[in-house]
Amino acid sequence: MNRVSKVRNKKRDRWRWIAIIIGIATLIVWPQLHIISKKSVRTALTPAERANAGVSRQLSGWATLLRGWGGAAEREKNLSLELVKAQAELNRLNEIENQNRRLLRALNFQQSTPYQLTPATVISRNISGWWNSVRIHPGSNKALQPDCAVLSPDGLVGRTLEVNPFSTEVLLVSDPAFRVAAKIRGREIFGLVRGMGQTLSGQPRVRMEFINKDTKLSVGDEAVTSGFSQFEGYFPANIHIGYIETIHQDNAGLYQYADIAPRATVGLLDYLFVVNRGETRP
Amino acid sequence: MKTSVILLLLTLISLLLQQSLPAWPLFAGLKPPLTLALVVHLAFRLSPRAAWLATFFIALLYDSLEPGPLGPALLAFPLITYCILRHRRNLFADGIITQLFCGACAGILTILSACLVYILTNARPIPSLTALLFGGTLLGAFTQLLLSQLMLKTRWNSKLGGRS
Repeated sequence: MNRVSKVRNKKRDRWRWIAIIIGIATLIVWPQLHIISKKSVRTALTPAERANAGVSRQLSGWATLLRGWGGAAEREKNLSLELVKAQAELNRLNEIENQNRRLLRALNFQQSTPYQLTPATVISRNISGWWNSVRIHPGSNKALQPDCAVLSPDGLVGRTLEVNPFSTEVLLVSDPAFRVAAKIRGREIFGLVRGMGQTLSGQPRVRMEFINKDTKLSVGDEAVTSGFSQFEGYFPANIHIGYIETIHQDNAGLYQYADIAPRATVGLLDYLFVVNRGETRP
Repeated sequence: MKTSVILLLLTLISLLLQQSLPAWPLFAGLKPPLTLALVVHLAFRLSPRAAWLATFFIALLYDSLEPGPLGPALLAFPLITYCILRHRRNLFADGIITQLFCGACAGILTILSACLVYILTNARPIPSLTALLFGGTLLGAFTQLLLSQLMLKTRWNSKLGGRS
């Protein structure tokens, strides 16, 4: 009897394992399940992520405050506590002023561009570090769509990847999976810009490839989007990407490529804008 | 019920914290794998059934927060839990060497499974496997040590029904 139950248990275990493996395989292989799972998890986690982003911003503000406090105490050991407090208060006000300036700049940018832009806030970043991506709020509730250009006042930031009800995944320009058709501003020199990850100091790396080997490039030339990307309209032409830093000849000698310093992803990305599909202002 | 709530809270905190942490360019741009360390820690302490449930739940959440296809965590985390459940009787879970070793192995497995999924699905290019393995191993080992030691010092550990 004992042997029979052991055999039964073994069989049950085997079936359980088969069911688990089939379950995982189905989850991995079936795209519809991907979408459902991702949308539900991200929608459920959006409030927590937004709260977390708010706390992070508060913490960084307090860190600035404390830095000011510590610095002031070091510089002037004999200063009274009141003076240190005043310094800390001044730092806090400076931080507010900086934020105000950033927001004003973003507002001016939104009003001055010819595209219809949807403002967005960064609520979280990629979890593993494999992808250079951020998650922004809002999502499809504000009619955002995949494969739209994402901008900051400094230029191109990336493109929308997966749109959820209340959040949108943005693939940054420095990610190796990012690609966009580009050209040199004011000249008929075209190429393909793709992300190259980050340098050891954390600076994003971007490269413009497949540039005609006979054209003359110079350091400081400005790379902009050409508008010839597969999804025309999502990547309007003439969006600033960065300036050429170095120029190289391809090993095979078929084309040249240039390393570009993108400005838009250097600073902390708090406020971004998504170009709405095919809409331009009159 | 209490254990489930604590587990849910721990999972949420580890996920949000890992997202907030900066990527380390020195370690191939990877982030300290707090969630993975939590999975390893739980696999040592929970009953097999609870460990499996927690592993699948955390893996699903983890993969859903990543761009690209599901799979890297859904493949790696259960494999790690399986290995730990199989060998945990012979391992001293509270030992520093065990934690370093298990964290490093878990880091390597996660990197390899992510590479496999991304290559099979053609989701993204793999920049440098050597750098990724190096970064994944070191970060996995030290994050595991840090998290396990921290958990051992908190009262949460006993509330999880720990063996130790």
